Amino acid sequence: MTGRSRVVDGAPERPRILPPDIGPAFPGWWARAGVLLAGVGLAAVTVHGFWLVVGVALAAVAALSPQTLVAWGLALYLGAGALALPHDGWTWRFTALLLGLHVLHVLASFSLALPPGGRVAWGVLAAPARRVLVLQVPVQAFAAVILVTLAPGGDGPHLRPVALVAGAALLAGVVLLVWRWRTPR
Amino acid sequence: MTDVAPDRASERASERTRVVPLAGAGALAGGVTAVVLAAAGVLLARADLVLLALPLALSAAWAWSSRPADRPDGPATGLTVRVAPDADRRLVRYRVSVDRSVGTDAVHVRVSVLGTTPHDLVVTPARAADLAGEAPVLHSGPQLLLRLQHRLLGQDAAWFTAPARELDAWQVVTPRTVPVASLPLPHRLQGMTGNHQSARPGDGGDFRDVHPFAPGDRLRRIDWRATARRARQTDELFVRRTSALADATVVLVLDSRDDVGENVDDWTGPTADGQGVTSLDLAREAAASLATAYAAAGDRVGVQDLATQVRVVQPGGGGRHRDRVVRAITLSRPSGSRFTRLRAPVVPAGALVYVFSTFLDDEAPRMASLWRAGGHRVVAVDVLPAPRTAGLEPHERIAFRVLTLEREERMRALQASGVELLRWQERHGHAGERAAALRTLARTGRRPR
Repeated sequence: MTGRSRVVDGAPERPRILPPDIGPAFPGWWARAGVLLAGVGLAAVTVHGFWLVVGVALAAVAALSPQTLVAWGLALYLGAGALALPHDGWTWRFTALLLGLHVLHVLASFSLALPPGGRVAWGVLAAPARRVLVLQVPVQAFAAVILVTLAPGGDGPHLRPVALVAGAALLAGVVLLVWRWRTPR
Repeated sequence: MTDVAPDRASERASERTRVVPLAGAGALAGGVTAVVLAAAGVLLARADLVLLALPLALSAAWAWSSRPADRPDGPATGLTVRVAPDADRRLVRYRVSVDRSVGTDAVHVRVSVLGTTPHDLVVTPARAADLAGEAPVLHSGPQLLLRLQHRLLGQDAAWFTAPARELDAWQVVTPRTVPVASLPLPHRLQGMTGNHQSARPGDGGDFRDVHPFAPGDRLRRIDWRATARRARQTDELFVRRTSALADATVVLVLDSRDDVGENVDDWTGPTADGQGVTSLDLAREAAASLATAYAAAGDRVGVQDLATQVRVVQPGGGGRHRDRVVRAITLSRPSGSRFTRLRAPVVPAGALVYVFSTFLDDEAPRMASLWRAGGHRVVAVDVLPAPRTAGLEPHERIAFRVLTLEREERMRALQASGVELLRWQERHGHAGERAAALRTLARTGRRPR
């Protein structure tokens, strides 16, 4: 907190003027650094060679300028990169990508809202981390069931109905979301 | 450092701002990304792509559905500040409280302490309900202690509220008063009562002279020995006369048009941070000390301000009037106005005029010279803090040197016109310098005109 005056080299040093104490905190730019780290890490897991350079470049742009929404473009890029992954069912790469895209989305959202020069209390991360956990546990389990039990070998004609149903359910959910958004509450 | 006492504890609350959720681009972008991934998964018959879209869609939908209702009677948020001086009066403690932030992930508070660069703090709602801090008391007078603004960040920052209107928390810090033992007096005392001996014959004072009896003289004042010694006729009598008592009228003239600190490097800066003791700190301390001392001696004290007509207190006496004078001195603040007066403000006849100024321009010396030419005793109180020139560029040093030379020339011209000088801030290692100067002024001041 505010320090008392001291005498240095004959001239009294003025007391420092500090903001209120918020406890343990980290700089706001760490959210952008998190986007960069998550983006580079996911790109390293998903793509290689020239495409890795493109992924790193997108991650850098997303971190430096969150307002461009390039972070979600990177998510799409990484999703497209997942098409090139070996189709051998439920793998650690897919698990990491499933978790990483979610974390990238949350970090990118916060990087839009947090002032880079500000201080963020560590406690602010508790609720988002809890929600990531609450969503990831069933989604990972569901993905494991889908990819291991129903389609151990990856894609195939018998997987199309499942994919169609899941996609339709997702689209319906988004339509409902947009409807809820447009309707005054 | 100026030892000052902040006002008593106070509380300020901002206007309540209705919570209007604004769409964060993150929720929309997450939703669109999920749709594109899911659509690609459907078209390419890839369940893994659909699964990748699933957490994004769920997260965006959950965050968006958590936003508060956007209705005119919807929830409102507000911000409250409580300010209280510390026990040793060198610190001010404050507590900031943001209410109605439950249900959000975080509260973004922008706070500027004592005019410094704003700090952005992002805290949990629980912490935002009681955010404590402290600020050093660096200066006297009115000052902006806190400037606060806040907004609420929704779930995963998917929505947020518009920033609430800024709340300014001001504090008024009463200047320190130092005891003044020797008080200079005007050339001519006014009034029929007081604690000072007047040149006029009357009651209450010390022996004045022996004078021939005149109608109106009391019989008990007849000095029979002097009569026996001096009388040349039998009906001639002599009386012992005493001096009358009178009070002094003192006008304290503040030059609050500018406020410069001891760091010359900060003279163009807008904030209080790092300025050190300022000229107005010294002026307030000097004026409040002299006002208190003169009021205690039963004299009449008034206040003028060269920057404004608002803070004018006509001369008067008594404890309540002293408090009014000190309050007017305390409320003086730099106005920045630069206008030239055609004539000096009117002060009572025979008043002693103190001019508290840095004398960095011609206006205050000109006023002092006008009062002196009008027959008043004028004391120019130099309140420019001892300048520190560390960190100045060479051209700034030259400019400062020119400024100093002009100021010295001004002071010399003032002395030549009969204005007396008093430097209020004592130099390092010269304790008692001010008291000695005041003693000299008190001794030499009352000369017959």
